Amino acid sequence: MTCHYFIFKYNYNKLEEYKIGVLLAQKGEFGSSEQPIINAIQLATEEINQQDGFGGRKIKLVFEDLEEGGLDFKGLSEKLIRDQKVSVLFACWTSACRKEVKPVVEKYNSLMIYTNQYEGVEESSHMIYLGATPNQQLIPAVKWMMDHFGKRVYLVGSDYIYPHVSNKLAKLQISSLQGEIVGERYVPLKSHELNNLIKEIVETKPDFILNTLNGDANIDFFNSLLKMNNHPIPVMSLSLADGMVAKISPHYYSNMYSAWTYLSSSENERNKQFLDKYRLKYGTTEDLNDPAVTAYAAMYLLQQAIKSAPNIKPRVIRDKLLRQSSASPAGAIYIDPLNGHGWRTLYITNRASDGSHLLKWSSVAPIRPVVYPKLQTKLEWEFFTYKLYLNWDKSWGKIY
Amino acid sequence: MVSKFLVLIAALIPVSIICYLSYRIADKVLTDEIKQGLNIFAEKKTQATDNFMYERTQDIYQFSHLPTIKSLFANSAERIDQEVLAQFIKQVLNDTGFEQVYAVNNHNQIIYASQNASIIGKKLAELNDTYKFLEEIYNLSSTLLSPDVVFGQSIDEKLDKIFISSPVFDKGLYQGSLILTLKPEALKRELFQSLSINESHKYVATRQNGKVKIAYTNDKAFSNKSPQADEIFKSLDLATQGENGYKTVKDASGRAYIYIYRYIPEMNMGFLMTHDSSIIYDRSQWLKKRVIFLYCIGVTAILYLTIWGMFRVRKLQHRHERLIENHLPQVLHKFIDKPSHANEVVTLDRACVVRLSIDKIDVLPEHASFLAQELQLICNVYNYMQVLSFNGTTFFISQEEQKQITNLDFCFAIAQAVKLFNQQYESYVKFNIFLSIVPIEMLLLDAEEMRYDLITNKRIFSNRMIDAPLNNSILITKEAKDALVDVQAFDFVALDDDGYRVTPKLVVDKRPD
Repeated sequence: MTCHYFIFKYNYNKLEEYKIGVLLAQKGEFGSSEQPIINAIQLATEEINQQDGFGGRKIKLVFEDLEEGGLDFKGLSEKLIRDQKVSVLFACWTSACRKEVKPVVEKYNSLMIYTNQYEGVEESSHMIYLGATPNQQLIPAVKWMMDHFGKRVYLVGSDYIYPHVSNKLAKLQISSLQGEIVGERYVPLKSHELNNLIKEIVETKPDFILNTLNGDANIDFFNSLLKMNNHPIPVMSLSLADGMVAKISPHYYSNMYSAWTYLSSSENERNKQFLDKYRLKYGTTEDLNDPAVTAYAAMYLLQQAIKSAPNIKPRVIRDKLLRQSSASPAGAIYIDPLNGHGWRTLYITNRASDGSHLLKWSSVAPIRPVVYPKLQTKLEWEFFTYKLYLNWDKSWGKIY
Repeated sequence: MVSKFLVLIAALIPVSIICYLSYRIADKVLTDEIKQGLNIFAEKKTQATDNFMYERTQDIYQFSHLPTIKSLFANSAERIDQEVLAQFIKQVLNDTGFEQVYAVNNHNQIIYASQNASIIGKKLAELNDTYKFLEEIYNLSSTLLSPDVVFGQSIDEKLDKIFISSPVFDKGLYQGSLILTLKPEALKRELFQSLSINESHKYVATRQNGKVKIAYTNDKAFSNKSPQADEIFKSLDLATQGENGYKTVKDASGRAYIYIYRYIPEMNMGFLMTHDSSIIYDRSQWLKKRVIFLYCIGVTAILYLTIWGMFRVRKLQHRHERLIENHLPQVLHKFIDKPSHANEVVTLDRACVVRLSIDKIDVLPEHASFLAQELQLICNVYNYMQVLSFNGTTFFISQEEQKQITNLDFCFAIAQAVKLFNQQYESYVKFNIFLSIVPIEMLLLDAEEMRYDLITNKRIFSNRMIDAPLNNSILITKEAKDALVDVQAFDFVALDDDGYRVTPKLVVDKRPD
């Protein structure tokens, strides 16, 4: 037994590094959204490595820049998994990216952690989804906006899978609440040609706008909307990263509503500590967003899972991740054993004059994730997404 | 003997250290196993609670789809048959642990209350503080639009209940929400039923305005002023934030308790199990004792084997000495008594004893002393000593176990010395050199006879030849072969090396005389 102890100790000290692949954009259209995620992962890595790593294994981050790699989601993820032999992948902001990377992850029996909120309607035994599902974000956000501003809603989003599925759900929900869709428009990702869209919105005079635009297009959207309409229309944004807010006119702040599962102004002690550490390392916390904090929490959930796992095979680690919970800066996060999605607490906020979040409503407790919203059957949802896929020539949206 | 005991003690020190470390590791592994086991108990308990709550949310979700419920909301302006609904609730829902049922339509109006008809028809905003919780829960339910669980307390903190709500849809339109209360007993039964560890205390806490509040406990003696209250609250604080873990806590008297805390996601609550470690470990004492007992047996066995081995070696050494004293002379007589006119070399594969005889010294005594001095010098160089002398034959024994080559070198040195002596003093000293061995393994096998080979240009005798697989041949080591080749002056028999055997074969063409 003693021999075993020393052999174990020897092996323990000689354990290989645990490679984590990070497939995110460090610059470009999504750089301001995704760089904070990279920062948060790096911060967590430093902290964990200063302890004993992942059960004695030091973490090694391997980066691939999506923008530099020409948004080749499949190729870059394959490079990380097959060539770099990463054990787990933190990847993607957009659902279009995730939809492309998922088959690669499944092909190589790897594991991917996705930290952004998304449209749901997807499950995989090779994925852990920690961002909000529609019942944790979209559904309460739409209901809250309808309760407070009215029932006439304009839907605007980028032209890819997430906004389309989200808006389909929003339409079903608004209909069930006896609301009215006054318009629905999609713009290609990276497109900043929004004049016609803004004109139409102003003309239809919605009670509020449900915004699922992604990337820097949000900046032009708000600024143009303000230019053409002196009375800002309330906008509920579901995918607006905090890093962009500084570039939007402060006159719009009081009518900019967000629904995220992280509240930066939370008095939660863990949040304060996290913000201090982030500020110390990166000089500011203004760019921080929900997926970044979620990625930070995911690193600690991963640490817990690996510590309790007999080996680091992705399948084993995923199994161990299920039922893990942790006290994170975003509050308690628990990974549902049935669908591998996180239980998250929702915060609906608008903006103070300095751009910070003002809490308007909170779910108080983490909400159980519902992957297939019950306004349609699972099959109906999957058929709907498949039709979209075919309409985009077997892709997940107008990405380029 | 003293030095051997010191060696024994020195050998026992690492054995003792190993035993102690092994015990410590076994103890740690056992302790960790117990904590892990308790942790798994707690995990199963929270999972069971979670599953119980999940089933209740599914109950209410199904309940909200019943035509009766849909018609309740559809006909909210009128009053449905309260008696029928009350009977239904009593019979069906009570069995699953539900207690009260409230229905609030999408105009914030209470359309049904199973136990208080006076609030039916009122708007939520019109209710007094006792029912203020209904407004909060309806607000949450109508926003989330999915089944939800809330632990609620009224202002007077007497109404600590679990509320489960579900939206009600009819023809695709949201109609309102159902709110049911769960009997605390149903939940307590899930939480506090025994896990075969009857001694444990369990606490379930909620977090309100950043502060931990214990909702349920089976620790009847617990109060906020209990000595362990601080530690209990600290653990519950972690659990309510989402942490899971375990730790050992000592009270003022030094008594150790194991605290296992876990997060219950479905209720957003913290769960804590405490165990008196002395009781828990008492269950494993027999295992610990068995481990100690086994190690004691191990140490005793090692001691016994060491002492037995020492005495056995000593005994064999005595046997060896007896063999040299009694048996060797008989063997040597076979050769010494026979007239010989040639040099003789006896060789063996391995050697631990070398004996040499110079027979019939036919020289002047003063010359003989020169030869004696020369021989002594050679003995000093090769670390041999004179051990026996009879019938004019002198034997030399190595002071230590020698390699064959060393023995041969020694013998040839002696032979050379005798040869030179003969030349110098024109004498004819004849000598026999016997290189014989008693391998240590033979001693251990209680061999009664020494093994030896005699190979000369005149005769050969080997007791190994009796059972040799090849006629007239024995196998010797490469060292012996090289030594024999080196001393061709002594005119040895030809060596045959077929190139295949690691051990060369010495072919003898003469049978013993």
